[in-house]
Amino acid sequence: MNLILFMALVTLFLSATFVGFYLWAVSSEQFEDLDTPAYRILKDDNKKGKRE
Amino acid sequence: MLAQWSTLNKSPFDTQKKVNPKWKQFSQPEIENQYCLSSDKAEKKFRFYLEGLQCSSCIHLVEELPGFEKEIIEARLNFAKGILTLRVKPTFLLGTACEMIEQLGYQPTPLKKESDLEILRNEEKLQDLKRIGVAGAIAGNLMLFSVPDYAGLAGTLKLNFQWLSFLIFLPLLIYVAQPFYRKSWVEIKQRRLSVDLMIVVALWAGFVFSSLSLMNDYGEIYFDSTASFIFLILLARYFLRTQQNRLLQTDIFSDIFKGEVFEVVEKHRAHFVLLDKVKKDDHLRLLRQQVLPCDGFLESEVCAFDLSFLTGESYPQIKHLGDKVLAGSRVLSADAILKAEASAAESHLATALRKISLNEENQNTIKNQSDLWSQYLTMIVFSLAALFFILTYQKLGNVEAFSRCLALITIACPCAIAFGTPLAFSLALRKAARNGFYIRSSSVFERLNRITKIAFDKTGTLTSSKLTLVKSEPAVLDDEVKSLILGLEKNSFHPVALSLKDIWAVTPIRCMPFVKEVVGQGVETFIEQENYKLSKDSTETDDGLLQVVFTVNDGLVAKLFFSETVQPEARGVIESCLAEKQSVMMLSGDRKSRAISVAAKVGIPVEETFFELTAEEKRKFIRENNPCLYVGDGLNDLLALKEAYASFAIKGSFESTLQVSDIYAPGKNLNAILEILALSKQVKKTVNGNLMFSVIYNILGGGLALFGLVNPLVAAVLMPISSVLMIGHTVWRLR
Repeated sequence: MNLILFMALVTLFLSATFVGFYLWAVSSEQFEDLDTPAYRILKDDNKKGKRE
Repeated sequence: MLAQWSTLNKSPFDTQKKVNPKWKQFSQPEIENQYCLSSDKAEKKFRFYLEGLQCSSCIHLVEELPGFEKEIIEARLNFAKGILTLRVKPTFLLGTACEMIEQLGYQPTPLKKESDLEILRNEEKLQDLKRIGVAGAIAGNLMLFSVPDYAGLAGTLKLNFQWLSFLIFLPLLIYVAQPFYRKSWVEIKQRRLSVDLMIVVALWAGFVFSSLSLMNDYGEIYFDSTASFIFLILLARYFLRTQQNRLLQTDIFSDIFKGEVFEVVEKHRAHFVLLDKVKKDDHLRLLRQQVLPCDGFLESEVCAFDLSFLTGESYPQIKHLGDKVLAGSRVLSADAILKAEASAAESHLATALRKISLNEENQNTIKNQSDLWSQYLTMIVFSLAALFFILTYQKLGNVEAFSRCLALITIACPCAIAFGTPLAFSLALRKAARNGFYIRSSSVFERLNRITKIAFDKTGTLTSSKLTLVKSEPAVLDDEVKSLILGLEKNSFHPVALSLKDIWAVTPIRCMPFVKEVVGQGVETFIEQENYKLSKDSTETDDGLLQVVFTVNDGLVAKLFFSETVQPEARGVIESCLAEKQSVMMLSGDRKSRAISVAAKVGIPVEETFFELTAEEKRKFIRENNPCLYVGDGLNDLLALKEAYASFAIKGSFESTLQVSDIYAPGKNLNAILEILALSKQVKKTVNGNLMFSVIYNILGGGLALFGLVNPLVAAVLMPISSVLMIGHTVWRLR
């Protein structure tokens, strides 16, 4: 029984952590743009040009 | 160019491209300040809306900007919204950034700092998202902790799980439900019942009942269902608010002048200002095609303006020194200097637009009515629940009676009326605005569904203000005469001139210097002592045609006869109206023969054609025939438009037309009537569909709840689902 309660508390702690992450993500406006980051990872980091 | 850059790794900047010279003005500190989102010693921040973004390669190209220009620290693009945010060094200028973006092949529009309202709305959105997240986590966890309970867990472990549920529920009660408390409190202070109050009562009833049940071990607890109920309600509301905010973000006046800068001429220097900085007594120099932002007086000798936005008349109008010119007029001459009468916000145009501002009247008429209905429903539900409890608690027992009442309060929801109806009208307004209609009040959609007659004005509505050359004397004009007439009319914007230039497009134009135009009279010039003149003939015959005479040294050379043309789409529109079983009439101030001939051309029966009516007679006629839709122009039909049950102005002065007409569609043709009638039908279908659904749902749900066939758990799930269905149905219908 104690183990189940312990697990329940761990679950609660985990979910509280994730809620915390979620609140942080909302506050830092990470849900403002859901499309561009997916394209951004395809970018070649080495390619740098110069303006003529 | 993009492909070239990707494959050859060349500079993506098209340095040959001529950039818009206006960007230079954006580098001026007073203008740049208004666009600078944050500024400190280390960096400045600008935002742009980019047109021309096509694919993911555009993201890479735009975000490479720091690689090409060292002064740019970072470039971040929001591809979905098309918004680019630039962080730059303090020495880097906004104008340069705009030029660079344009050279990349995109059209930038610098975005101003957000207004307080936008900041507030954004903050509210973030708070909503946080609450939804927390509510979702609470509801999910509570469900998990309830599973053992439903599976038949008993004893101490069950009690422990229930206490855990109680603890998890508390943040929902304290933090998540705050907006419901606030709204209910405001409504209670105003002595009104609201949907929010129902939600608060359901929430607290669920909490108190479950807590008592837990302490006294009655058995049933509803923490999980109450939390799911709140979570789903929050979701539904978030969706609703997103839809409404999108609607409220339309500011027609600022849209007209988006990104424009205006040159203010002072004694020793000229500087550029933005729309909101134009003030009284400023001397503005406007270039060709620029739109006047404020009402003002002309300081140039003479200048042609296109007033089509204000009057619906597409041909240009000549203004002279000292004449008043209204905001919204477009300059057609080389350039013009005007003295501002007042600021842009105080102009007639801005005032008129404010009147149809979507925040004001538009939302209220229907909303008040639906608020009232939802209050009635709330009252009925509460009374029914109380009555049910009093009558049945002895028979069913306190717990069961209370549980059924709770299910009733939870399941019965005036959502269709409280959310569905105003949303339907808001979406319809947005759709109409997007399609070029200016609508004074959303109640017009209701009224359009009640009309039985449609009355059309003739001149300028069924007929075009453009003239047709019917005949001439002599019947065939030689090219020499035509080219002389065209030479005289070369710089004129009179309908006669425009029609002739259109009809004789292939005839060469004779060079006629020093042509003088006398407004309302005609045009004339002297070449080597010879007087060439094209003027209106005052001796008009009775066949309703406009006559123009061309004379050389007062000797008649040619006579031209013009008639009005029937709008090409008029017949089709009238046939469609008749097919809809509407009775169609024509009212005209014109003579009998002309009116009947036009009516025959467009397909209006002779017995429904009324002629030789004065403006006052038209008004009386409309009053006797209400409920009727009057379609006219705002120039000479103001009385009739005002009297009609619903009115539609095809053109007219922006301000006066909007004051009397329900719908105004400058720049659209008669088909707009069918368009708006179809839209109002769609609104009716949507609202009726919602109400029907709501009635069936509430009677069925309420009945099942009172008979104990639906417990509060199911009720809590059903109610938000019904809201989402309703909103979804509305959005789908009016998409």
